[in-house]
Amino acid sequence: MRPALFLPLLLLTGLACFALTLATGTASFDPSGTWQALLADGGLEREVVLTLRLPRALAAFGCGALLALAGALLQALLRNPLADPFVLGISGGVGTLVLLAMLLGLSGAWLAGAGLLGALASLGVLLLLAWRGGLRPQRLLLAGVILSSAWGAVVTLLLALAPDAPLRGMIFWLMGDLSGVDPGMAAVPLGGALLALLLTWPLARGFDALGQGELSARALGVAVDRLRAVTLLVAAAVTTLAVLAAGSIGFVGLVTPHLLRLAGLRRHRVLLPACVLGGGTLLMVADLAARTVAAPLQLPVGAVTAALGAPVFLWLLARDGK
Amino acid sequence: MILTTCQLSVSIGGRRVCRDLELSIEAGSRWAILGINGVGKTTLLSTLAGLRAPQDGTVLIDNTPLGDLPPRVRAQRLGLMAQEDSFHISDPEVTALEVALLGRLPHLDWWQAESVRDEALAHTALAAVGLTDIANRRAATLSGGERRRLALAALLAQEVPLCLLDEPTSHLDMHQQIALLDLLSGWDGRTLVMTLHDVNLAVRYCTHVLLLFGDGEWCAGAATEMLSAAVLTRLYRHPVGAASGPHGTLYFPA
Repeated sequence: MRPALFLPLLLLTGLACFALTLATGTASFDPSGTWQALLADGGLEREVVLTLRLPRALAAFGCGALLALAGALLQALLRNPLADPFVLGISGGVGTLVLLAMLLGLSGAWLAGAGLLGALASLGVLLLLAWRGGLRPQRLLLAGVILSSAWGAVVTLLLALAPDAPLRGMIFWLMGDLSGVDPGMAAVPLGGALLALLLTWPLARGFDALGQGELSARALGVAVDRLRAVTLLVAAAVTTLAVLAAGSIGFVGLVTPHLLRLAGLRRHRVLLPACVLGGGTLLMVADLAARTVAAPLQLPVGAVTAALGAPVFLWLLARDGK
Repeated sequence: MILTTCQLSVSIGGRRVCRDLELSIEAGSRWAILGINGVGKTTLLSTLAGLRAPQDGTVLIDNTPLGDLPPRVRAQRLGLMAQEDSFHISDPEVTALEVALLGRLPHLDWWQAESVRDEALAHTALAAVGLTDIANRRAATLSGGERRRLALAALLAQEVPLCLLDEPTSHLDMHQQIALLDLLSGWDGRTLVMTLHDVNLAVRYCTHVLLLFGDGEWCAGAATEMLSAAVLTRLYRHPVGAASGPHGTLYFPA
């Protein structure tokens, strides 16, 4: 199959999953039922679909798209297949300051403000350590890994010191949780993902060239330093937005680009949009599973992404080796 | 005159590669840069390619300072085939054809997809280096010699009048060395500047040589005039003998 055909296919899959997500829950409808509920003037069904499921599905899709895009960008920037949105400690900075704010009893916009501060602090440290007349990917990766573990230590400390009352909320937030999405802000992650895609898609061929070494890329006329700086900034913004919206949901950002590459999408012109569609769909389906598999109990979506993604990934890897 | 240098001084790590280098490279000529290991051949080549700022002086391409050109315009005029160890492919899935297609990058605007012509050029380039059969193989599975030829195919697809090559013959057996240099010297009208370790290949294929003696000392000119056993003895800091061969003088370590 030609790689470009993947995009419409992924879009259709995403739309089908979106419809399924709207229709499924404690009260399940068939597809026409969902449609009727949406068109109805009022009623409980309309209320459920519009104010509960639609925002949550939209937010899940948006966050999945953000995480997968961040993963693909960082894997290209660091030339490291193990890179994910959390590798550089940006999310660690966001998480730590958000938890600190929770501990102080803050909520709403204050949490977002605290998270943003954490992201900027991390970015500042990274630039300070890894900028030597241009970003040095090796230094960036090392600095990021150390920064992540430092933030991790602070988080552990905060959790150990936290009183019981906010503790459960903090732990759920850490694991990644879409149940607290504000309906008014549900479309923000998807908007952010599309904007980030618009900003980075023009760089796609540069990422392909960078895959053959910095010197070859520069000889082909790629402005490597500018490309790296833009990529880091976009990846940092994208990660921050995803973590602020839904906490640290693991696995989607690491695995989505790899799944798509194994499916034959190697060139970033197709890979980046495919990450937006594929990552979004993956997280939306995982969230659907998280809220329905053990209903009325809600599972943390981060656990579900790993449980769903790991076997599929291993299967693809095994098949690929033959 | 396609490439000229004006009072060019290059150094790396405190060591001088060349001082006040004045080169005039004419269109269609083939230059070899010769010197001992570590004298700075690769550094000088990167500087000539505009990828490294000189300590002093300027490099001009068609009378325009290289530094004044946007990277993409520069890459439409000159291409560089990097040394084997800096041409490593991090994505194990990428195919030979995709590597060759990247040579078209400087000619494509970001919104453009590769055209039928671009793909045809990549295929032609692969055919020219004898890699047609493995176009869809993963580049990471190619042998050292095949990877050299693949890098050359990408350079060919780049369609630049000036090609800089860093040790194009490394990792190649005798037959492949000759095949590759035959191919290079058969490229119509292209100007070549390459670093070489084998003086005899320079004698056979290059019209001009640039000799780097270390400490910034250099001399440049027509290969037949510049090369002699005495000069090479000084260049390589080892006694060099000469004998006459079918393609000109043959040099050997005494």
